[in-house]
Amino acid sequence: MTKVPWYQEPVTDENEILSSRVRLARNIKKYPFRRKLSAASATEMVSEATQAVISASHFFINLDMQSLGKTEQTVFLEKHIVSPEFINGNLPKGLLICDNQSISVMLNEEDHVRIQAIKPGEDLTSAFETAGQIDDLIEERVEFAFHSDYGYLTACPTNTGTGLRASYMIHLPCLSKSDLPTTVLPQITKFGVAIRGIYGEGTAPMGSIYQISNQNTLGKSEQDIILGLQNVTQSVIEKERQARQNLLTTRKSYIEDIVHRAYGILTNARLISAKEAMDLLSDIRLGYITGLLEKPKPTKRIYQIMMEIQPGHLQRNVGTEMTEQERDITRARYLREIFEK
Amino acid sequence: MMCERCQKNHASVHMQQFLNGQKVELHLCQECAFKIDNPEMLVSLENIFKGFLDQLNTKYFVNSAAPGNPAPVRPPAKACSRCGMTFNKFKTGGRLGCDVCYQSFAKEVEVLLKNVQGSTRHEGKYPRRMGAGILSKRQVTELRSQLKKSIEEENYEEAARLRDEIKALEREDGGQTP
Repeated sequence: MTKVPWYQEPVTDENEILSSRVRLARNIKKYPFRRKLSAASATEMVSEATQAVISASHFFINLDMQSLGKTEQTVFLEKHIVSPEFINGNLPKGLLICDNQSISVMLNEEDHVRIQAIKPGEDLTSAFETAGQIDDLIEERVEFAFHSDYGYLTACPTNTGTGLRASYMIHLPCLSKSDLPTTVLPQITKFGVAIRGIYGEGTAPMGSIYQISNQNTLGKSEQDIILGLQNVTQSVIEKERQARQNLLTTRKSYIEDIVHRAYGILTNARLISAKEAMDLLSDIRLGYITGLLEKPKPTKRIYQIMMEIQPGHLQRNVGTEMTEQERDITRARYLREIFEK
Repeated sequence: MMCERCQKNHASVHMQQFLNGQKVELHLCQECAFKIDNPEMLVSLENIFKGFLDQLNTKYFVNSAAPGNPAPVRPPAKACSRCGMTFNKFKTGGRLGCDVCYQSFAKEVEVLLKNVQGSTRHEGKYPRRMGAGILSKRQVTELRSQLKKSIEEENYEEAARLRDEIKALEREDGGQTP
């Protein structure tokens, strides 16, 4: 296995799909779910599950959550390796990751075992295969709660059945400049998927990045769930490409202005928030995709840069906690260096 | 704009989600956004799932109120035999206490799954240790639907063959599958 983290792996920086992620939720039959788990049983469960994971694959590293500082925890959060619920939970918990960080197992999150695999670009099938293999190996060592009609039993009935949440991170710069939120998304989400974006002040999600995932976990096989998500995502991508074509035909100077203006600000700003930087990076990425921006490409993927300007990553790289203003200064300097190289 | 959760701080994180053709927005302060349970599941849990939980309560218990008395009748204080979780606690917290809860609240869970998931039948992967039992149960379900179709089509010869096949599979399983 490679030592390079998944988000640094070379993938052409032109795909709409930035990463593919699969999560499997499982519970160990002999313990009650987290709501009814005592601290003593939680310790026992975490230790038993840790043993099962480590003996399943020696590639896993057991991270001691207690010894991780706040910055390190935020970094894991920003990389989507752990969830906020996991970080905030007070009961004993465990985190095991593979050395390239593409596979992680959270112990005692909402469910006892949450297996996750992330791959760069469009690679949902292989992410699912990876998570499935880890699941098989753990299952040889512990008995999971399973019902012949309902499948894998989870604390929340919205995960019951396959326990599978498959998702893509997609970059939709042109759709988010047009009618995505009002017309396109409401249509698409009728087909059993959820699309969400996190945005700051304003209307467009941060960096025009959306997460698209399956809604239901029961009644379909894992393969059908994944296929359904792939089909819907493909139609979203087609709509993005139509919107891009449309903008390039009818409003080319507008797009040209946006991408060059973004480059101008990113290479000159002295103070920049994460939200502003994400939006500008999104426009720069669009500039490279359309060929409108002829400046030399940075050596890193734009998506990787987007991750590295988040507060946790910045603070880890500097090695100290910073105020918001100090972060904005550091972020601006980091971005100038990246693009001036 | 104030944070929709704590109503104290300025809302600076805005989430926009689309589910079932509906747009849902959530406005939170940094602190609440960080604390929130798995934001991935936010809307489906809090809006749709809780919506169904409420509906479930109405369906099951308001109807049993005496005529002319619109006040909802309190649900029976049923508790899970393994973990002691009550249905009311599940309704407010949205999480079950253990695997046995699925049997302790079988009727409610069935309705809930039908509404939230659109199905009550797992079609996916199963633990290897469940082995042949699960497979034969799935075969029986499939054969039963074929049997129904054969009878409707008055193809009695095929129906008899299917019936024997089902019986044989059920004998093999010997009621081992839960």
